Amino acid sequence: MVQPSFSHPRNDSSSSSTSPSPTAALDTFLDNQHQSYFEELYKSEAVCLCILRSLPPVCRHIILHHLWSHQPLRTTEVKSFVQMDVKASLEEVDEVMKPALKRKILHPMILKKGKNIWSSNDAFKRGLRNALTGLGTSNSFGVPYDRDDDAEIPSQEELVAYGEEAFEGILKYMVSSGLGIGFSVARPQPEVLELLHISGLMTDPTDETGQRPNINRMTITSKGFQFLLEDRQTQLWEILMYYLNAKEANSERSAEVLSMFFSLGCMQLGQDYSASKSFPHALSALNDLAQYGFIYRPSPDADQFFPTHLATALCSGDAATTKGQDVDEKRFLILETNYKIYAYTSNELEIAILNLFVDIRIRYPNLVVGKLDRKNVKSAMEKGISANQIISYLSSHAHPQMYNSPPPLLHPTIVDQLHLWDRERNRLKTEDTVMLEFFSKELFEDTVNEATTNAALQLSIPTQKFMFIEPQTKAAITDFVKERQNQLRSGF
Amino acid sequence: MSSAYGDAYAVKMTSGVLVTCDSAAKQILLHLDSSREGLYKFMIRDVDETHLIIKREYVDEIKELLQDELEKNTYIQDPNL
Repeated sequence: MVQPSFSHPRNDSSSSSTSPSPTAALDTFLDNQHQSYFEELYKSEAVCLCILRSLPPVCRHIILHHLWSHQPLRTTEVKSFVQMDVKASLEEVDEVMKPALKRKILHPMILKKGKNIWSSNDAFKRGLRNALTGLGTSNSFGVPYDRDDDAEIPSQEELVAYGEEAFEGILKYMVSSGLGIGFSVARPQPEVLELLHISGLMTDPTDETGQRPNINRMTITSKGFQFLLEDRQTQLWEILMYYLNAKEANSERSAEVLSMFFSLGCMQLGQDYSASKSFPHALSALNDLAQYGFIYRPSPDADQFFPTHLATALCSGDAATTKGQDVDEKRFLILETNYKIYAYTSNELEIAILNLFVDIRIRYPNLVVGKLDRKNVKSAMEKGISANQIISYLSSHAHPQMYNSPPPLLHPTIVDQLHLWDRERNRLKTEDTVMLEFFSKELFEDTVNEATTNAALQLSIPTQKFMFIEPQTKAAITDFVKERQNQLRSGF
Repeated sequence: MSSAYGDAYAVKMTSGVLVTCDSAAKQILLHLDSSREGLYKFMIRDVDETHLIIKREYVDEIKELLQDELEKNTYIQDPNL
């Protein structure tokens, strides 16, 4: 028999873990949901397909392999599938299947020691089978709008431009609020501003309670600055998750909305869909998404809508392909070893973001020349941007020319200098403490052990018999010390 | 708890803010403290090469003073060069 040959998942997970997944916000949200939430989600075929795509390749293969089987999946099958030792422990197998278990696609059932079976979630199985065979009646992939053949429809390029403009408009508004520079930005809709406030990306500095902000006077927060430096895919999912959490906070049901996000992610760019037939239960949420540029509507109350590239790229599963559309536009930075930066861009938003940490000296129509200097970088860091964020921004926007020089992409002197500037800022680490000084080595060691097991220890210096504990654990540790003192004094 | 120093099992407790830093920064802090008088002294205990205990109310002030001191020792290139 020919064994499928792909490497053990843990071998390649090391390389992928270095860059955080763009769907990190979604993953955290889903990790905190219960079985019943997933049951509801998996009613939609589009969700099943997108969740499958979000799994790591090995997991995906095993699930597809097993999809049409009537038997539950057995440990031995998984072991032979990933070419694992037959005697490998259950934990190792569990590790491979963990993403599927976390998404409640499989339910573990323990037979006996070292043996395990996993039964599939029925809703998921049905959904995915329908998605692959084109059956099912939930219309989760969207219902095309029934329009006249000669009606004019926007081209794909127009849709991309529309989506880009709407979303960048929001980002530009955020940047300009922080820099106090006035490029003329239309203020986003009140609903958008409210979401930016709830999510903590923007805040009203004059509002001390944080309860009644004046949304027309908001400025960007450090969280907001960090948000700006993320790549587009991450930003989109973060915004969607803030939206979803806001819905939940209003005790509205979010499963319908989330499954709509996935449905949008499975739609085609350039195709028009009928809102009332595709999402009968989430119409208001769909309207909200229009404000962020996820969909385009020819007229505000039309049933017809076009998803833009922001929506259709949501679930492609592979971050590299979703960036594909604007990948050339995004690679505009040349960074020299003398800290000079040449940015071949005329995009206002990118220039404004660069302006956060670069001292811009010269500006031509398609080129900006500046310098990374201590003053600007430090002021960016005071706004809450870390060295790592600057470095990842610089490397993800590096010009193709930069790849021609031998790696690493960014010269080590610059990376190191950024880290040094970052560290310079936090040379002191301060924490509230209670210090205990001991004379008896025995008592000292016992107390250190006690504090370590209770996670109360901050620091211990055995040579001087000093230890430092969290202040709130003072009472408990004092009791322990007294008890030990009594025991030791009485000679036991 | 017994406070008698003759007792081998005595324990002394001190509350404050634990400062962890590199030794150069610690020396600057020591210098700052030595230039202050009476109530304005902020140091409670000099623990070791990289740790200090200071009074809670001075934490923010000390951070700022240290930044200022470090700023004095930074070379800033003349932008016109």
